[in-house]
Amino acid sequence: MKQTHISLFTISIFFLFNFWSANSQTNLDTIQYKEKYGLRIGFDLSKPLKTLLEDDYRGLEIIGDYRVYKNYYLAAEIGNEELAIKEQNISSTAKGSYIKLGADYNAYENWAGMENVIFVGMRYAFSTFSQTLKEYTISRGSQYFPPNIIAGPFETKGLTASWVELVAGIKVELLNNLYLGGNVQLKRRISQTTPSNFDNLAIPGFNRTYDESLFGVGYSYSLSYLIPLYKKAKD
Amino acid sequence: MLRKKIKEFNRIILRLGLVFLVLISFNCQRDDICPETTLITPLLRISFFDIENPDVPKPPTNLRVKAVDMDSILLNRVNVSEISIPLKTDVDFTEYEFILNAPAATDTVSISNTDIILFTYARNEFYINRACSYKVNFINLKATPQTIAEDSVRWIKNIIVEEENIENETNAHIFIYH
Repeated sequence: MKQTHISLFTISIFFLFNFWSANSQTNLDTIQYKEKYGLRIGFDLSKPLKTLLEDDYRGLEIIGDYRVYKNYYLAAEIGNEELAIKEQNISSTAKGSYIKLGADYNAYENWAGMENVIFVGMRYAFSTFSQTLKEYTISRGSQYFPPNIIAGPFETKGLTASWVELVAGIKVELLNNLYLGGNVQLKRRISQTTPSNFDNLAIPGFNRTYDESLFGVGYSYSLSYLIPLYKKAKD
Repeated sequence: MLRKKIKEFNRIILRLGLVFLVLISFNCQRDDICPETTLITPLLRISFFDIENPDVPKPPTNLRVKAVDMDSILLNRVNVSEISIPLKTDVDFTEYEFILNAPAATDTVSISNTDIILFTYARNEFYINRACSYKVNFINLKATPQTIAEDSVRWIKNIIVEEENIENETNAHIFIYH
């Protein structure tokens, strides 16, 4: 009984692969498909959505990439964000703009006629922002006296930070030239200036920071449109 | 052909996922809880010594400690030679009553002796981290006995400020002789 099942499974797999390979071979042999090269621009969907849903968030990001050569793309994001951090004893906001520049590599071998993207990429990112300490409570070893809460706002302007990002994601062509994308980002801070006697609890473009760690994470969903500039045969 | 491609693609995605998982796990230490080992606003450590025998610790009998402007009692009827008390972090002074022979709730016979000490200082705020927020260190601490009209006999004979900058709780900051 068990053996019949196994052999049935093996046979069906065998047929499936046979069918697939036969299919791809005919495609490759007969027609030469041309692929589109151009500028793809769009915006981050998650940031306007978060702006609507969360009281203390505001953000917008414009994204773009340009296909330079085969599977290589120049890529950039530019954005503006206001991020609020609320911890038990401290609350703050970070407000500012950022730019990310880098490249993507499309690791996906498309079927003929399709132009989807599964990519990995690197970015160098730079942010200028202000950090506002809104309220904090002094940490004390005894609760005998009532809590000592100090209310701001205390704003520090002209702060900067830079970091590198590892990006991985997908872009799927929904309609002709219209793409829906999603990606995850891993960030590692290179430099930052902090307010005196305080820290950057969040950085626009970087998201929240972690004490004792230079790393950060992020995600985004995007909608973008490819402006085709020329076509080139796939080799 | 396609099988090879699928395999290759799977390998790439798998590798990517692994790298991300490993790197993200570095970020997963909890940093929203202030660890007890962190140096936060220090308490004022006071040691009591015998006035006749200045090297010998001497616990005051049934000591009650209470801030002058607070209704609640900080320490009640303790018999120890060392206590730790908080200083106010919102003003530059804290006034404490040190009550010797504090009576129990039912006791109406014992006679207690209240001495008041005014602690004055300057405050420095330091940022610790996102979980512990800020701490206050006290500098230029001074301890001044206050006069009380009703009892002229002070049980505290001498006060010595051992450390006038209070940044930790490693050593006693104040010696009281009685």
